[in-house]
Amino acid sequence: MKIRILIIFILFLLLSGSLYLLVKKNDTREIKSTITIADAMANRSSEGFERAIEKREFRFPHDHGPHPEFQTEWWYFTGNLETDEARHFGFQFTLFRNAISADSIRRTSIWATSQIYMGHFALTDVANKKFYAFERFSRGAAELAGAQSLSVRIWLEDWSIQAISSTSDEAFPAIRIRAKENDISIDLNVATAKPVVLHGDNGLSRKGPEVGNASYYYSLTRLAAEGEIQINNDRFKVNGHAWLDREWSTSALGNEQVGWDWFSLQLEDGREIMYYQIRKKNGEPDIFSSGTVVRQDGSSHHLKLSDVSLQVLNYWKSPSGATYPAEWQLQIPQEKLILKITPFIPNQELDLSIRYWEGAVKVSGISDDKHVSGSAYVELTGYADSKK
Amino acid sequence: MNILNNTLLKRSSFRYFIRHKWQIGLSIIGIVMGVAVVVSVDLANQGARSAFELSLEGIAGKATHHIVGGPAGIPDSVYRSLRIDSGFRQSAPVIEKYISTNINTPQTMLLLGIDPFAERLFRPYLANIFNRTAGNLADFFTQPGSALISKPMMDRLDGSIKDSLLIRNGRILRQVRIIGTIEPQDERSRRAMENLIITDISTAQELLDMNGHLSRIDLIIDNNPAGAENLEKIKSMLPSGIRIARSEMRSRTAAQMVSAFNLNLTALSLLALIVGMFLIYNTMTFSVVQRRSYIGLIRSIGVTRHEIFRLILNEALMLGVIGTMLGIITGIVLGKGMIRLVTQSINDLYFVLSVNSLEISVVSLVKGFAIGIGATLIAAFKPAREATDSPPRVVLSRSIQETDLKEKIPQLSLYGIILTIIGIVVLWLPGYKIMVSYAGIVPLVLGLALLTPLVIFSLVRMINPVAGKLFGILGRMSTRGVVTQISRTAVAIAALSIAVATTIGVGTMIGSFRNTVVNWLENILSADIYIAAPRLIATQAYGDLDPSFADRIAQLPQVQYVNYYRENQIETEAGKVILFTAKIGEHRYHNFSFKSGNPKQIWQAYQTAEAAIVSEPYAYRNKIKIGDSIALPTDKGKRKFNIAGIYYDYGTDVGLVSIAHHTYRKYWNDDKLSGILVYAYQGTDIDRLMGSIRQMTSPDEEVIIQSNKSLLNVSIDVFDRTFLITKVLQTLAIFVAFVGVLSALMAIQLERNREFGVLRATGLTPGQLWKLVILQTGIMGLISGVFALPIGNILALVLIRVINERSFGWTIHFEFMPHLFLQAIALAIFAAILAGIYPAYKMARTSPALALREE
Repeated sequence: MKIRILIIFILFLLLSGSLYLLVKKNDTREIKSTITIADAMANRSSEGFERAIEKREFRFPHDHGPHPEFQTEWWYFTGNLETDEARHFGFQFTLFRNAISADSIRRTSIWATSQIYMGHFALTDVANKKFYAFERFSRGAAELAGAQSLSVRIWLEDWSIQAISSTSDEAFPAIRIRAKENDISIDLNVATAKPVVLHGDNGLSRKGPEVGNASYYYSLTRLAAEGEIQINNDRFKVNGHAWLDREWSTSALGNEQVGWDWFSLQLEDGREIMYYQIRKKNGEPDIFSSGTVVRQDGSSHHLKLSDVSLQVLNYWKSPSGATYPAEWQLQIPQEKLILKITPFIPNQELDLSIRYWEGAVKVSGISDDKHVSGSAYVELTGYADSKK
Repeated sequence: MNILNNTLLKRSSFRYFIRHKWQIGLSIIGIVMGVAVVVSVDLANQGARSAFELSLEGIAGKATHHIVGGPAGIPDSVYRSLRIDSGFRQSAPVIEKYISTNINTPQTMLLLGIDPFAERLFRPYLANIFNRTAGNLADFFTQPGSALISKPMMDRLDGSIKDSLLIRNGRILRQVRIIGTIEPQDERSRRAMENLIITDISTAQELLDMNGHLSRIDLIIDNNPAGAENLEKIKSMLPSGIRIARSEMRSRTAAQMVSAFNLNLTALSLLALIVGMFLIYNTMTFSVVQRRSYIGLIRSIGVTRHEIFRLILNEALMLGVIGTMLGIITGIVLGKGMIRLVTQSINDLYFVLSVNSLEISVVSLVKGFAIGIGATLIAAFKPAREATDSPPRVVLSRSIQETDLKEKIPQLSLYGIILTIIGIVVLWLPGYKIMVSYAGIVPLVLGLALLTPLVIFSLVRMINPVAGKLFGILGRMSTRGVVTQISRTAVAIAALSIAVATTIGVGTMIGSFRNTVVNWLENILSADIYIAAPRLIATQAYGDLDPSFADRIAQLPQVQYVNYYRENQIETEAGKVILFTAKIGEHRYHNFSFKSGNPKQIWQAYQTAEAAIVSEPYAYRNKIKIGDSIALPTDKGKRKFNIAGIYYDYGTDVGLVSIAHHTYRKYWNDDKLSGILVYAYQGTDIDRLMGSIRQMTSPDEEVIIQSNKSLLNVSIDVFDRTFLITKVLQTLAIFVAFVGVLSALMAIQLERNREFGVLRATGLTPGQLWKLVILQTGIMGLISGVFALPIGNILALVLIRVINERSFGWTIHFEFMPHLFLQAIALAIFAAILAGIYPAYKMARTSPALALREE
């Protein structure tokens, strides 16, 4: 009798105990929600910004700084670096500026802004077949991120692009670029080795048939780079060549355009080639694809779609599921160039909020019956679905 | 093995219950009420607590540490150097402030200003503002006053508010535009974000006038050597006055603040259950006594003691299960009202908490179930034992038992005295464990209850002659009846006495407390006019006033002089304290009354030697004596202040530490005021002066300007409001007691069928029968009422001197409350008489012959 009561009591304790644990466990659930903002301004997001319609006069160092009257802008460094032992690294370091509204409302808080900065930093360790990619965002306010042309500085927290103060060339100062995420970092000084190149029609680079669907686009195609790379506990003294692309616009790809393949080639014979091919939905290259050849003496000339033949020789499927071209043959008959372009390592996909492939590639081929080689960077967009 | 099987036994008890449905029904109500009160209080306590924790989780997210500063917050440059110079990116800036809104009745919400770019690690549910589906972000960042609120809240708003949600931060009114909603994906998330208004950090700075400052910076510090290193690095870069606090401290301090309050509510709810237990005990004892002959009979035909024991316990269990189930349901219903009261009290006393719905916690229900069943079984144990004591052969008459009990009175009384002494000793034990003190009440109450038979005998001896004189033979019969059936009447009277005593005890405690507070308020409120920003917590200052406002008031011709004070919550190592700093003129220091020490010396030290004085609850809780010192985090770093005095303060049980205002200004960069005290020249028209002061404020600000008298009234209202829940519990306990008495006395009378039959047969008229029954229950009520007086006062003393002091540290001046005694006796007699009506009515209508027939 008493034993039975005892048993009932113990069962009860067990039951209530397990119920309690059940409830306890549920309590660690994360708080979840979806945010919906009334879309009053949905389709007007680019309204009020200036567009790249006419040719302009570029002024330096002023144009190294921001152009807030345009919606988007970037400072895009890529480069191939080597240690004294010829260990190869590739790097990409980009700061993007994006304005979410052209309205200028007077606000009192220093945090108030319509400028959003995004940074991408990627490092390719060819020897170890490793690829590191990082992303960060910040508002362009409260000195957390921003850009200035007077004593050039573009920064997103502690990622920065900054003129070295002792530099002699005021228009094209030597620049220090620094990016660090956990134990992966670069700290490089880059100095202009060749004059500035204005792409397209004197720096006006059209991307589509509509008026204003264009950008202002200049490059420093050969920058002498030297500095330090850190990967986990290892530090490497490196030097090599970097490339800066500067572009600002208020435009997007047209409805028929799905992405682009962009090449920045630095040949050992002293030439550089920039070529981007915009892809249409049907797979054809868009007529607005274009490029620039920069000669040894710094002179450049424009390339149209018809001047270039680009053939994909190989493909690579990324872990995220996208299939990217992974080997090309690039022909530019007027330069007597036939080049084979091969990634140093296949996986250089930036699996970030925008998913794309951007990586260090090697170039080898024939120019005027002579062997040429070089290194380059390739960017492939529009192949993968973006993450939410 | 037995000639009677279980089914037959069960049927017989079922029949018995059917025949005594009144008795059973009422005792089920007793359990129902007891369990319901316990469950509802528990649900309310749990609900308030989990609502708080959940909202903290919503606000604090996954932060492990916070960088916090003084009253003004922290400069936003700290965040910048943290992110850029130190490169520590597991950090997020936060601005948070409770504000009033014009949603529904003014509703308090938390304005949470965030930087969505930094939120991903901390509050992912807010970071998903960047999802493509969220819509256009531009307004959130760029349009002033843009905010998000939760979808359920949005759906409740009426159209006009959607376009212009007004928020009031202290005295300043601002307009907010809701540009979007956050839709919680489950119930838990819904409750976590229910009262949030989310804005960008820039918007929050502008709305709250906090440009250049943050409320805090959230950090995630990994729990590893690298994390510890980071922590040290961050500590070393912080400017003085800015420091790091662990995240869980926030909820822990909150839990600490309300724990005494919650515990006291729980204890009061248990009182209702104890009364309910008496009821079960009474019912079960009674059912055993009534069935003595039946039990004797079945024992003589072979039913074992065990089977009978089990039978009685099973009966009790059945009552217990039914009562507990119904009690839990009733408890849920009651809980909905209760949580409002609990929330209200917490809001008045401790911190802003808004709970719009009752979460039905399984734990509370399980607890209620266990308590209900457990209490029933415990209460039924003794009667079940008694039932098995019946010798099988003899059908005993009750008179043996009555004589038994009479003989046992000295023994019972001795036990009673021993238990009472044990209770007193436990209560006397020094130490701060409040649970021990509560445990001491149980033997004390039981011990006093055991004295009931003795009290009955003594009182009856006194009442008997009086009753005889007043009502003749009927009077004497009714008083003697109480004694002759003492085995039943004693339990009923004890239950009634305890129940009534509870109401006296709680009532006296509240009354004494109230008088103490009113006296204190009258003493402390010496100024003519009080000016403060609107407050969210009734007992704590909240908003900011500009110091220049005080200067301008001082220049009014009717104003003799102006004093002011500043109140801030600060976190010390000993938990949250309120730092009260005042500029008080020389001639006003006597308004403070000190618990010990020489007021003049204390005042000297306070004014000239940067000494602190602390409130009584603070001193009690932290075991602080005069001469000790207290370390406070100032804007100039940590600093120790000597404690010169301990003063009486009944405003809050959250500890108060007070230093002179000029001392405060020396160590804190905060020139704002919380309140201004205006002393006018004699003969000034105070209402007109208040009018002139009001004209000095701008239309978009709200400032509370009160006269001495209206502040006193408001303060007393707050007091009454916070004790409302106690009064409700007291009332519920009274109700349980009432039901208990009703059932016990009714059962006694109903059972006297045969006796009344004999009386009726020998010539008692129905009218006389009425008189007899009502007189007897009335006398029992009277005895309970009288006996309740000493017990009630003992309880009140315990509540005031032991429980309250150990929970909150307040000195309350005990006061007798004569009206409570009258009320208690009236209650007891009323319940008792009411209990007599049905039996008297029934008996009077039954023909004597029918009543005389054996069942």
